[in-house]
Order: sequence, then C-alpha cells, then structure tokens
Amino acid sequence: MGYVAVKGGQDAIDNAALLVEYFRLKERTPPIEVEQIRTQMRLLVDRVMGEGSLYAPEHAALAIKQVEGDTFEAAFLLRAYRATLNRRFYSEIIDTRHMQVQRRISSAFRDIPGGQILGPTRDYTMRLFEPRLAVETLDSMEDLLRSIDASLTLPEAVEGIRTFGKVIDLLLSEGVMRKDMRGDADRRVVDVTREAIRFPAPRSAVLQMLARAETGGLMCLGYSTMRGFAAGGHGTVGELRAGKVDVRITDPRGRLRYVGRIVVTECEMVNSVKSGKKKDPTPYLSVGYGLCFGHNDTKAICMGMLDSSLREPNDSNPANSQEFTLYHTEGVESYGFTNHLKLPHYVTFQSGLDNLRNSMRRVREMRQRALAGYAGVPQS
Amino acid sequence: MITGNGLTSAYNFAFIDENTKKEIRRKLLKAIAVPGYQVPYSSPEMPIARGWGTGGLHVTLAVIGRGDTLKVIDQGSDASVNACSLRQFIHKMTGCRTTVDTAEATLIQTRHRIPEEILTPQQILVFQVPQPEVLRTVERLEDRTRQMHAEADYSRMWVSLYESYVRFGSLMRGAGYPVKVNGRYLMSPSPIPRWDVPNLNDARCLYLFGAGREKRLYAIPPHTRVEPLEFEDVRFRVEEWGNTTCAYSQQGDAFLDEIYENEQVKKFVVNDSNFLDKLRSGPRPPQRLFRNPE
Amino acid sequence: MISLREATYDSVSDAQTHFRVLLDSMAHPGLLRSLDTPGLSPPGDLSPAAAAIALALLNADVTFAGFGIGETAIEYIRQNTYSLTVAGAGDADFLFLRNAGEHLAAIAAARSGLPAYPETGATAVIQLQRLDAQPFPGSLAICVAGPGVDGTACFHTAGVSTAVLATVSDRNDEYPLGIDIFFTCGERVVSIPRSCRMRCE
Repeated sequence: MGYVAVKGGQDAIDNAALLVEYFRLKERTPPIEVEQIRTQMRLLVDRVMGEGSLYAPEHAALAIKQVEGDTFEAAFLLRAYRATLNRRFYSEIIDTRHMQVQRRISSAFRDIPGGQILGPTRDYTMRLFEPRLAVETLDSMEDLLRSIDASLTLPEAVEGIRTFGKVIDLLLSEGVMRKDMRGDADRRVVDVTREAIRFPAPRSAVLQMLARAETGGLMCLGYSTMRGFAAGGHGTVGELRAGKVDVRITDPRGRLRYVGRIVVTECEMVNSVKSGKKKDPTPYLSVGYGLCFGHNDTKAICMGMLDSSLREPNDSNPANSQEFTLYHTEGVESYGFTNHLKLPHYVTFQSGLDNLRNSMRRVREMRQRALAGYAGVPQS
Repeated sequence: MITGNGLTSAYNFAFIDENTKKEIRRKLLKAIAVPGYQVPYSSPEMPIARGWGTGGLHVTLAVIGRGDTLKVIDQGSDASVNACSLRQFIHKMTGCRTTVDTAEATLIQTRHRIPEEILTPQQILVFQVPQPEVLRTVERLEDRTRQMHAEADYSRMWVSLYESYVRFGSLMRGAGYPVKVNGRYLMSPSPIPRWDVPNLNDARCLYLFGAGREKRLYAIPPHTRVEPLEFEDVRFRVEEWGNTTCAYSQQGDAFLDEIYENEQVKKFVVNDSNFLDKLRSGPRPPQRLFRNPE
Repeated sequence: MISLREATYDSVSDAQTHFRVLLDSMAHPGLLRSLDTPGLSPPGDLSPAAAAIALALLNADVTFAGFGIGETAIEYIRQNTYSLTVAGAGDADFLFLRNAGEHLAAIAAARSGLPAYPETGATAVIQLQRLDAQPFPGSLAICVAGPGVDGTACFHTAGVSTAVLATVSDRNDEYPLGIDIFFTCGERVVSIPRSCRMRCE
C-alpha cells in the first residue's frame, strides 16, 4: 500500500482542485474583473468584509471571484489572510457623530433634526425583475448615470449641514436615557482574536463577535427575539446610519494620524429596561448597539437587538444566551465544523458499531434466557 | 489595486507568525504542567477549515523544526485525502522531511487514532480534537463545564455512563472514551477508538492535543496515569474481533476496519496503514497490547 | 541607552530549537537538558539558559519581573522580547530569579492561577550556581516524582536552599494551582512542573 495509496490520495485532491477551476470557467464566459465585483456587487463585498473581519474591498472582491460567490468561503479567505497580517496598532475609536452620512433614519421619531435621509436603499423598491439589466451596456450605463447626475439637486433642508446629530443625544438630554445605568457592567476591552473568549464575556467581546458574525445567523437569532424567543422584546430603531468615517491611529511618537476612511453601518436600537441599580427602580431607555463594515442594515439591526437581548441572561432562550448566540453565529467556525462531517469517520463509526453489536447480542441473550425460563427449561 | 504584493510574499517558516507561535508554546508548557487540563488559546484562522484540523496544525506548526520528520494520518491512514492535504501544507510551509513510516517520524499529527507501533521518547504525537470538552455531552454551557473542572465535580459524567449502561448495555456508545488524567482532570482523548485508550497511560512519548475551533490545547506527558472511567463491576473493555484476522496480513491484535467488498462479503483489514505494510513485509513491530478483563 | 539586542539570534529557528528543548524538559521533569546558546551574550547575572528561555517564550503579550538580577539584565530581556516589566511578583507571568534564597517573598507572591484557569499561574526561572546530574561535594539533591517522571528523577544543585524549595512546594500545595519552575545554570535547564512532588536530600 504505502506510497502508491498516498499518491492516490494526493492525486485525488489535486484533481479536485483542477476540476473546481474547470467548473468555474468551462462555459467560457468573459472573465469577471475583480473591479466589477467590487463596484457592482457592493453589498456582497460589504457582507464578506464584515464576516471576514477585514476592511479590504479589493481583497473581498477577489475572494468572491475565487470561490464563485460562496460567501462562507469568501469570508474564510479573508479571515485566513487577516490572520497572517501583523497587527501594529489599535485605532482610535471611530466617531460616527462625524460620519459623512450616506443614509440616516430613525423609526422612533417621525422627524428628526437634519431629516430622515433614505440614502441608497432598495427598501422601498418593488421586488420585480428589471429586464433591462439583462441587456445593460456601457452606453446604457452612461445614459443612466448622466440622467441621475442631471437630476441631483441639493435639497434646501440639508444645505450647509456637515454632520448629523445623534438621536440618542436628544434622548440623553431629555433624561429618558442615562449613561452608566449598569454600574456593575464588565467594561474591559478584550480582543477575541488574541485570546479565547471566556464566559460571561464582557460587552466588548460580545460586540466584537457580533460584528464578525455571519449575517444569516444573526438574522435568525435577531428574528427570534421578535417572535417571543427572548426576554425583553426587540426595541425600536432609534437611529440607523451608514456612511464614511475616518480611521485614526496614534503613532509611536504619540501623534494622531489619519490612516483612511471606511464605510460602516451603525444601528442604535432603543429599548426600555429596568435599572440595574437596586436603589433606583425607575425604568430607563437603553441602547442595543450594532456596528459593521460597509452597508449592511440587516446585520447592524440584528446586532443591536442581540446586544440588548444578551444583556438579559437566560439560558432557555438562544438570543438571551451568550454562549449560544456567539458560538453559533461565528460563521467560519460553524461552516468548518458542519462541513467536517464530510471527513472520514469510519473508525469512530466502527467503535460505535462494536458497541451496538455487543448491546444487541446482550439483549438477545437476555431474551433467550427469559424465554427458556418460561418454557420450564432449566437454566444452565 | 492589488498588484500581488502582500498576497504572494513569502510565508513565515511554518506559516504561523512568531508571536502566535510563542503564545502556543507558552500554553503547551502550561498544558504539560497541568496534564489533561484544557488551556484556552487564541487559535487564529488557518487556510484549512475549522473542524478539519486547525488545532492539530497550530500545535504541529508551533513545535516543528527543520530537522523534524513528519507523518500525518487520518483514521490511521497516511493516504486519507485530508491527511494528504495537511501533509502537503506543512511540508510546503517548512520544507521538512515527510514519511509514512511510524518509526522514522519525529512528529506525528493524527486524526482519531494512535499508531499501533510503540512510540518512543523522541516522538511527539499531535492529536486533532473536534470537541475538547469531555463534559459537553452532559453540560452544554462552557461557563459551567469550566466550573465543574475547577471543582473536580464529575458526578454528571458518572451518572451519564451509568445511564448509558442501563439503557444500552455499554458504558459509552462511541469513540472518545472519557479518561481521568493524573488522578485529577477528566479529559477527552479525542474520538480515538477504545482500542487506543490504554496507550495513553504511562506512555514513553509526549501527547499533545489541539482543538482549533474550540480554542483549547492540552497535553499528556510520558509516564502519566491515564485511567478510563469504569465501575468496579462494569469494566472498561476495548473492541474485540474474536478470531477474525486481517484479510491481507492474516494477523490480529490490531484495530481492524470493516470493509464491504460487495453486498454479501465483508472483510476485515488492519486499520493502521503503515502497520499493515510492515506486517506484510517483515517482523511485527512492537506494540502495547491491552487484555480485556475476564 | 545602549542596545542590548542580540545580533545573531535567529528568532525563528533558534527560538524553535530552544523551545523544543524546553518542551522536552517540562515533559521530563528532573532530567537535565542543554540549551545550546553559542550566539547569545547576555549580561553576566543572567545565565545563557535563562536568556534563551526569555527569548524563546516572552513577547509583548506577557509580563516579567526580575529578582536578584540587575537593571542591565532586565533591560536585556525587555529589548530582546518587548515584554513588559512589572514591579510586583504577583503581577508577573514570568519571574527571573538569582540568589533565590534572598527573594522568598517574590516566590511566595507569585501568581498560582485561578481554579477555572490554572494556566495563569506564573513560570519562575531560577538560576543556580551549579546544576549536575551527579552529586558533587556540598550538593543539595532534589528528587521529583509525578507526570513525566519514570519513577523518580534526581538532580544535584548548589545555590538553592531548602527554604526556596519549601516556598515553591507551598505554592503548589493546591494543585492545579501553582507555579512552574525552570532551574538554570550556564546552558543547562531542568524543569519542575507544579504537577510533580519535590523532595530534597
């Protein structure tokens, strides 16, 4: 056996790798440019960056191309790449109050200072196919862009506005929301990529894991909080904003340096809760916070709902259980483990078969002895 | 624009960055100092999927040097496709020698089997572990299992074994039999068959365990007491094949694979691929054999 | 501040080679092992083995404290590993001791870990004046038994008192809590993990 069999296994995996490339290209359509994915599959790129935990749109686009659109594999590629990179700095906290807003809404109030800015969203489009996209050309693209440019006029209402104040600031100044209501909360800042998470986890670890979590998994658990599977209810969107924020680091000489700009989506879910302090029984408004890379409303909203629900521990509801929520929405780990069932398990299976056969044999023998007893046959 | 820089730059020796290697190395030393206890570690992502051996890889790559000779097996076989994939990756990242010969290897990475041939004090066996928490089947929360280990409170595992015996006639239904290490920690030996469990006790080699997805490392030093859980009147037993021997080597006293040749005919073959090669070509390599109690 | 950085130390391959010796050492308590350190020139009050241990295991993610070693030795470790110095023995992941008999308080204060996380207990690198596999005049024999040891293993020392060993044993009384020891002398190292019982003769 030896070498020949080993070569067989090696040949099999080499051929499988060739074959998957063949399947990607065999219909001989023009190779997709990475730039096309980055620009025209923007939301897919944003999702993959979030789950890959690496803000790198070109790399995300390349990953999507390489794995033929499999989001689990694409996020995995980014994570694996990220793990090879040197971490030299931690950035300063990004200031979303100074966001260059592309989209900013609140469901809690009909009108807010600065206005409800829908921004680029398909929320209010009808989900009907647009056949024109099947025959899009560079010319038709130019025509569309020109006509949009021509129709853009700056509404008076936002003229002169550079930044938009936060809705929660209004609530704080009114006093219905107060900071530091949970005096005993664990405020340590940990990095789950540098140390394994421990439970109960501080909020920084929870938010970090939610920010890296798989969008579908978060959606599943966020949805569960809305259908009664969580204590505390789901809250209201106090504010959802998306746009560009500056990223700064402090260099080794102590100077603040601008390193670039990223797009993030931020959601502040507002919920009414009872105070954590024994001497103050008044309810207050609390924020369930969500923040993720790129435009990803679903993820930010669900993060916000889960941030709230995870602060009401209750092991019988998945969304109230840190361990359940954080472990099972971790996309790279769950993707790997569910799929690992494809690996050979014949030894463990054999071990189980051996046990099963012994059990069956014992049951048979017991039955035979019992029957022999009934028939009056003396037992040996 | 991605021009290739950064994506194709040379990889660090053994792929993992030096800081992560140091973390893994420190934790392995602590794991050896507290045999059977699961040490949490950062477990960064690797190019292979979680659940496919990232933990074993972390340990191997943190430990391996240019002078090592590496063997990788999966379910006892060097030829298994995942073993080939892992061996190829480690070789590519280190340039190390690879071998299928158990006696020649200095470092062996394994999924779910201990080689039949006795391992020596110069050898290290690295286990890939899917679920490091031996108590997970009786308690699903990590927070609680940590406490149970801290307090050496293993009563629920004992109850579970008893219930399994009462309902199914055997203490454990599958692989991954719980063992007690150094008289203190309950440990999962990974899903090795019962046949291999006695090999953990008072061994001559070093056993290291890596669970990447769950982010835990643990170890059994040589000459350490490792006892499978059993009752006074219901003892631990390894698998038995009666008088059945291997169809290729005509020998027994090794873990056998059951193979269906066709719908009617079954045959049994020695599972350990290198051990089978040696049985067929030369003298029987030395083994440690465990005899089931009467 | 002069540079104390080692010029010829290979942080990839030397670190790996030395780590394998340490792994083998911790897995075989009581047996002498040698860390070949031709390229290292630590300050005089830090043995080459202790320096090699520092360079192999320490980095910016862990803390260390020095007792009985000078400022230069501490600076040497800091410059070569970026590890953070702490003043208190109870805050250190690694303790480097020389003339350990004069620093019993540090050993007594070293972290022994938490019941749920015993690995957070510290590692102490204790330098000896002499370390041999065989007895020598005036030597103190230390014998260990436990995981990793085939029966009993003894080694022979000068420069460590029974008081030091008693203090260590005290820390390790409530296994799995405890501290783990590397004894060093020149290029030699011998380990005593907290899992092992020590006895002196």
